[in-house]
Amino acid sequence: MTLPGDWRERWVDLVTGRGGDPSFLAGGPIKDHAEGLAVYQEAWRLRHLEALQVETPGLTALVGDRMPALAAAYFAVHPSRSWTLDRVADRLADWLAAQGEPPEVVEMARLDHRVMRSFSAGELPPVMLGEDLGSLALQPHAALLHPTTDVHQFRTAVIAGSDRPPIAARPVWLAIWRAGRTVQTMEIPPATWAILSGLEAGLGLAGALEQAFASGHLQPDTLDDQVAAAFELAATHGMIGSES
Amino acid sequence: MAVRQVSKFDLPDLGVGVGFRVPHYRHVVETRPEMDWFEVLSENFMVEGGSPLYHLDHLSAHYPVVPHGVSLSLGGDGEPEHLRRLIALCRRVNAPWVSDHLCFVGAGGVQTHDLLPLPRTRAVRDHVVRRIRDVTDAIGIPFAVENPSTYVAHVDDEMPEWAFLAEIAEAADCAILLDVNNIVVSGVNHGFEPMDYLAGIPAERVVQIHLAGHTTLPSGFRIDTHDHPVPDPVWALYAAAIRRIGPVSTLVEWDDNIPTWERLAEEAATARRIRAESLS
Ligand SMILES: [Fe+2]
Repeated sequence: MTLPGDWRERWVDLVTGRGGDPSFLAGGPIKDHAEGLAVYQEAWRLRHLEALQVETPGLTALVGDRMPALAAAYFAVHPSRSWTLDRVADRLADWLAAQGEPPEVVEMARLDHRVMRSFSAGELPPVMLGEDLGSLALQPHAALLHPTTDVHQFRTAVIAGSDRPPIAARPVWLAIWRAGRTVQTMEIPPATWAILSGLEAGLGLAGALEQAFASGHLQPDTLDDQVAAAFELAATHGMIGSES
Repeated sequence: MAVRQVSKFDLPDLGVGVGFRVPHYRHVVETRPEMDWFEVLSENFMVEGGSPLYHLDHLSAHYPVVPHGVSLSLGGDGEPEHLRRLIALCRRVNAPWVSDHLCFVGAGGVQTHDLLPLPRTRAVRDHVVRRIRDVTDAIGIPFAVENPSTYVAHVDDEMPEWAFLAEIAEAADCAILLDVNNIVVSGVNHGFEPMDYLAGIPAERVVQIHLAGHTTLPSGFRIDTHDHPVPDPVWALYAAAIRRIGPVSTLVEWDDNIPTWERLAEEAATARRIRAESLS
């Protein structure tokens, strides 16, 4: 067989397990072409499994022995499309949901993903006193999640190497952000969560407050206190910055 | 074999350095141990912020730093966002040059994250030359192309790898990062003489040498694992390369089963000694 015009695509199909005719490859004195190709195939499988495990420590601990099979099935549908292995888990949570996996598995994958994205995300300058609050934004390294299980407690125990608590079904309003060079997760009041998620959606301060009010988490009689508490918490922990 | 060529590129001889790897980040930035220079894996630092850039900035404040990539995919297509970030990285560390591999990493939008071998044809050669020229024009500093380890070849290969590399470097007017470990690995796997490879390389274009260890399977087949000390055949080829090329920046790669800093520094010291002996 001579070199096919689409040799790059054929190579990718062969390496990622999609099959094809490898007879345009040539072996050497020790391994023939199929055995040489197998080196690349095995390296691809292991590299992607390891990268996924690095990106999802909580999920890896939660699903245990199922991880290699889950990774193989996931990468068969969603091979990496980024130049960095840091993004291999980008589609994992949605894919797990589509497979009918239970909420704690899907939510753990989503939490892992947001935490790992936070490590190398950008950072806005802090909000200065007297600055126009219209420039207020959620830090690019911060994220809000609202899981239906307390997967964050299990994950925290995995990272700390301590005893893992059972995962309970309960609504959780969770903030994820980077403080210094470490990433934190914390349960926050629903009203604070609602305001910050409005900032996360790019609604600006007025839009975020409107959305939080509409969500029912901001009460008219305690509104001022709730808003003040939200900004004090967000500012103290460095979850917000200025886009100006 | 010709001895001591004059480099075509006005680049400094940085001495012998090591790869900057996660287990040593803290030790290096906090204690600033003696080391001539560092190579960083480009992709790990082409990010927006956080821990990677913190460590990079501390590193480049005290040592020469050269970015070395794995995803430029010279045999494939360029990606504007990737190139934009690579340029930003080079400027951030004031890189004297930047390098990546003679390979392709994916197609049709799918990335394999591996250094896949290129068919050694004239058409592919010309494609790589165009890609290197585009990259060099965009980055504005010398670009060095590195020979990878390979485990298969192609039925239509028209020339040996050293000729492929040499023709590309000449036509693209680029530099060469010569990985002597990869020459030993591929030499065994494909049945060529490492000294033939060395003799076929335009020495005046070599601006850097890579040293590393590899794995030998029971069959004798070699895998480029970067998880062992540099073995004797690689040291021997390194000595021959230094005699041919002259005093050229050298880098010890150790990426898996990463040893203590002290052990890694010892490997760099061995390289420094062999380099000095080969030059005398
Ligand atoms: Fe190398």
